[in-house]
Amino acid sequence: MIVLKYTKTDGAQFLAHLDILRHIGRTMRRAGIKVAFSQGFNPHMLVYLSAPMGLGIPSLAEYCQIDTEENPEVVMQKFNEFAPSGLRCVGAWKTQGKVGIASDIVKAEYLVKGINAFDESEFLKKEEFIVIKKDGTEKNVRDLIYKVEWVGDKLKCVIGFGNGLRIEKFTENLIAEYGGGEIEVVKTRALTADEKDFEDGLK
Amino acid sequence: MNERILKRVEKPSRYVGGEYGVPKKEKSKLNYCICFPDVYEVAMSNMSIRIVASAIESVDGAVCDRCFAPWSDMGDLLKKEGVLLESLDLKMPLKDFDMVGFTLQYEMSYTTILYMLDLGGIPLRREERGEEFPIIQAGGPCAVNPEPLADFIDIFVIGDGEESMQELVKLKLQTKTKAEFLQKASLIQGVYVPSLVDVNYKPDGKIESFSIKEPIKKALCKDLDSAVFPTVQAVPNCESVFDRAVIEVMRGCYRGCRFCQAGFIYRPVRTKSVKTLTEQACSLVKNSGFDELGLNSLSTGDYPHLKELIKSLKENLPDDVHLALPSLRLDSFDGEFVQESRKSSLTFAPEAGTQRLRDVINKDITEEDVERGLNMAFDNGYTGIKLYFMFGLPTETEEDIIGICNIVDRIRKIYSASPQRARRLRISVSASTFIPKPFTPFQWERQISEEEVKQKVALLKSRLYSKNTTISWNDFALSEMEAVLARGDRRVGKAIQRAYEKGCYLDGWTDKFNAKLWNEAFEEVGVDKTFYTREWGEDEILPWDFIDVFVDKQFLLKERKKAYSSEVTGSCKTGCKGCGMQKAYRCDV
Repeated sequence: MIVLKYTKTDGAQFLAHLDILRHIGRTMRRAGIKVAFSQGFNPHMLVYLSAPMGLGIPSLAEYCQIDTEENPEVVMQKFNEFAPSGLRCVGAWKTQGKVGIASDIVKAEYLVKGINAFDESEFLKKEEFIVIKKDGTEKNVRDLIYKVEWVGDKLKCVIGFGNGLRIEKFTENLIAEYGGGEIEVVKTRALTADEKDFEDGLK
Repeated sequence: MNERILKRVEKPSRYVGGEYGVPKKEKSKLNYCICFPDVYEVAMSNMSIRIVASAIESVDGAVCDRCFAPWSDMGDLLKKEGVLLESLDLKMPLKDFDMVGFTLQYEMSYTTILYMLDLGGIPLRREERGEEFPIIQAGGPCAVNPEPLADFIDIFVIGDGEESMQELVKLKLQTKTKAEFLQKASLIQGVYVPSLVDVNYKPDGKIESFSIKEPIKKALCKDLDSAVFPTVQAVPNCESVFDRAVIEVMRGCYRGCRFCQAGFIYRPVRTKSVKTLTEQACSLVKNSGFDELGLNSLSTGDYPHLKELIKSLKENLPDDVHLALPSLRLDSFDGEFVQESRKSSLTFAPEAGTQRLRDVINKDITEEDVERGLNMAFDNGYTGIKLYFMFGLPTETEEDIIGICNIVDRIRKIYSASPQRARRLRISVSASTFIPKPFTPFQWERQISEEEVKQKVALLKSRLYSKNTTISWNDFALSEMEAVLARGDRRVGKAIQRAYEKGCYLDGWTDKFNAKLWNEAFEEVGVDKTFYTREWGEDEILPWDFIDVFVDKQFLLKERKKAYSSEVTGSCKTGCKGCGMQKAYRCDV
């Protein structure tokens, strides 16, 4: 089993989650990398992705797990030779069996451009950050906001991932409160509960 | 396409391009944009535009880009934001190309052509477009009757695109003005320039004459085996309708079913060699990573070297590549091939419920063929059967409808008698309304009325009482409109434009098709639909009579007569039937 870290930019951020899964499978086929298949009536290639994120947000930290005996360095090099433009492998590790790429990544870091400046320390003093859920109910998600800091004109923030606060909602609320225009968001890191890069646990 | 817009549409990956297998493109001396008037997932499954694109790209100084119809969410946004529809690779608005070519795969895509022109910043009617706008071209199967689109298209290519498109593009590179290009292009075989041809009508609305001396002969690719074919197939960004590599096994069909337009306009049958097909298949699979390969043709079971081909493909392709054989006929159905498929449901098209009516349409298949095929299917574990029929074929009676029920009953009996039956058999019967099409022996036939369809459906429902059998039938209004557009003349163009202006586009999608708007459009421009769905006189000049697909009108008439006496003509494989093709090509039967 190996884990790949890849980036999703230059148009690839518009590919849907399941399509990316298909593309990685086809990349492996083109590259001639032998991947294990599931058993059963409709065998499929054993490739697993980290949890999906909003369509259209470029990411520098996506992970996938591939059931292959191949050397990680080789897979990384072949991935970059045969993947669709916009998907680039930036790291590869061998693991003992499956690791929790979907379950262990619970936080993510983003860089956001386009929100009007505000005092981050004041912001972090707040006890409430209300988002309106799909069913119309309100929810306080302040406990899912871990870090907010200005880096030049960009806002670096660490918020929960896959657990109730989406970056789109987060920025929407900030714009509503502080103003802003066309925003640009990039996912820069995928983090575990202790705010370490997910790959740290693989090294 | 700017990101702000992409973020607001349902499936942005339809519009970003950059697919694996698409080379980086740069503007060239001649920028051609090939357009498919339907959404990305449909367009990316189409093989013919890939062939045409590689023909164009093979010409020095030409680049071929792609553009497909945006779904309505994107279309609305483009209009609202005042952004022009642009191509996938060069990201250039349609209006900035030198040539824009549409493929005509089905009649109900005609309004979508206007939709794309409109979104691309191009005036709809050809006389409104000066030198600053691209040459608008169209080709593909429906171009055999180009007249309904004659107001909008500058130049049609009728027939095969492999060589004709190369010639056309070379000519465009050498000419300066539109007028010069169109004049010279009209001398190329297969090319029709509507601005050079006038149609005169009689007082009763029928055609009096065309201002053209010689009929326009279709373009013919005589050697398919050595013809241009792409070595790479782009991998769609999102799952497409047929998500697989595709090779074209042969073009044309030996059968000559009398309702089937493809069976006549794609004549003669031209096959590719096992060697070429294996090379093309290996190249496509290797370069794409697809795990499925489609062996396409009108009737792949009739390919003379099918067993040899399958053996060769199995030996040369990776083990886990599945072969998809669409359009296998019941009588060519072979147990050996069945195992290639993972699907549990099999599709058969008997088209008609009785042997008599199948003889009428020259669907040369017997009850024994059906039984043999089904037995093999059941032995191989199939538990679902999908059956296609047509309502309203010439000479159809109640007995033929009841015949459909008999077929279903028989299939159930065969299934109960077969040893392997873990599950209950599911049968789905789907019936479409017969549409008379140009260049078929039935081109003169009328289309049945909505009332008649209702009666037939009611009869079928009352007799077809069996659990696990579902019945579905086509929307009549859609079939009617398809008939009008298929057999339309130049006057129908006004109605197409009005329909578009009233909001009709992507009409092939049942949830988008709006019969009311279409009917209003015809009424408002004063064109009578029923003029086109009636039975035509055999002495009438038909709107497409100035096009020559090499099948003689006399042959079609003879076939029509034989139909009325339930006389089967049979496959070309059993000997030449003298359709007229010989004057242009020596068929190898």
